[in-house]
Amino acid sequence: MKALRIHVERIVRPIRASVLRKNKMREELLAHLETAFEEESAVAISDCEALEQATKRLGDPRALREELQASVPWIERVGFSRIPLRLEPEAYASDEPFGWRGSARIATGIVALTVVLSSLFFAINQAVSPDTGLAPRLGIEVLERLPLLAVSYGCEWVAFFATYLLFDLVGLRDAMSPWNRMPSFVKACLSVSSLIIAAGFFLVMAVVLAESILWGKTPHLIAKSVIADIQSVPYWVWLGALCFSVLYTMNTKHRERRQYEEWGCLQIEDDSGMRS
Amino acid sequence: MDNIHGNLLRGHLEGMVLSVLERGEGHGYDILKRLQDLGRGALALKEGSLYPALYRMEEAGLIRARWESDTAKRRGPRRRIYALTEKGRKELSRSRETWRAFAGIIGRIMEEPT
Repeated sequence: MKALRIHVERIVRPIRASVLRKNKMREELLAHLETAFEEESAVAISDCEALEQATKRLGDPRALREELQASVPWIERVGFSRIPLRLEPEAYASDEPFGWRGSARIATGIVALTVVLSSLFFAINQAVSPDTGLAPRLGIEVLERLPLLAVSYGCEWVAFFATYLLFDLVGLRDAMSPWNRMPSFVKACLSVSSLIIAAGFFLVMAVVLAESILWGKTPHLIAKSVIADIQSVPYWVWLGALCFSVLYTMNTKHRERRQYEEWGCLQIEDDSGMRS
Repeated sequence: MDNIHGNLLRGHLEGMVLSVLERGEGHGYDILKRLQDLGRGALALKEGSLYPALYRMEEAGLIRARWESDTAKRRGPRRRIYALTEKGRKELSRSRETWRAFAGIIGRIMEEPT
């Protein structure tokens, strides 16, 4: 019954958790509601009344959502927060304008995450290196080379900003989200490849800059050696990677299509009665 | 007797679920029905509250879950069958001890003077 699905979706959709976990919640709550509905149908005078009683028995949707959210491990809550990664649209506003503002917001979120992770890396490195010799010792050189780090973060910001803006301009963003429209397979492949290229570009920059900071090598020479390394990879490795990415995308799109047909296409109301 | 609900119930929900599962595995709705039967209708539990508790306990390793395999008997979405783990069994005996101590102390305090 569609009304039961809509009620479940209203509870589960805004929860910050992996799709796998949310699907588990969806299926289990739906099974529960269907059984409760069958029970209520036996005594109620109409389907409408049975539906009302069954949903009432489940409890207040907002309170239940909060309890379900609290049962999600914190690491998953952080990983699936919508602001930096935007793997899913905002809770209900799936048609929110994106454009340069959205791209800037995502790029800033990703850079902020990198700053935190790289700061952690430098702190750990600093802590272990003097005594154990497990990592190259960092001293005042890090401070001297901070401008290089700033350049790295700047490059990362530009790479992700440009990628997401491009996504928006040519409609690839829809291909990444099963919720908005049904994407074509070609668009989905293009969008996955663009993201991989943006991430790869940043990784090369990060390797070059990290090596120059940690071991004092010249960025220019490191960049040349990285490019030489890439060129020395045999063609069948690239071909294999391409096949893998195509198969992976096909599989993902198949799952997303099913997900969209079962849950994503449902029009739900938020707690204030707004439809999306 | 008035229904037992709200915080009074929530504080003991996990222990009660473990106790129910000790008598045999079951899916969410089944656990709820068993709780209500054992509570003789006095437990006013919002049914949805059971699932966050089950997920928390599963995350903590107190119970384990599997999707029901035999879908031929019924149509509709699959259900998850929950069972007690060894860790859950130990937690249950700890909960029982705590409850007995708690009930004993409160009982003595609340008793009418003779």
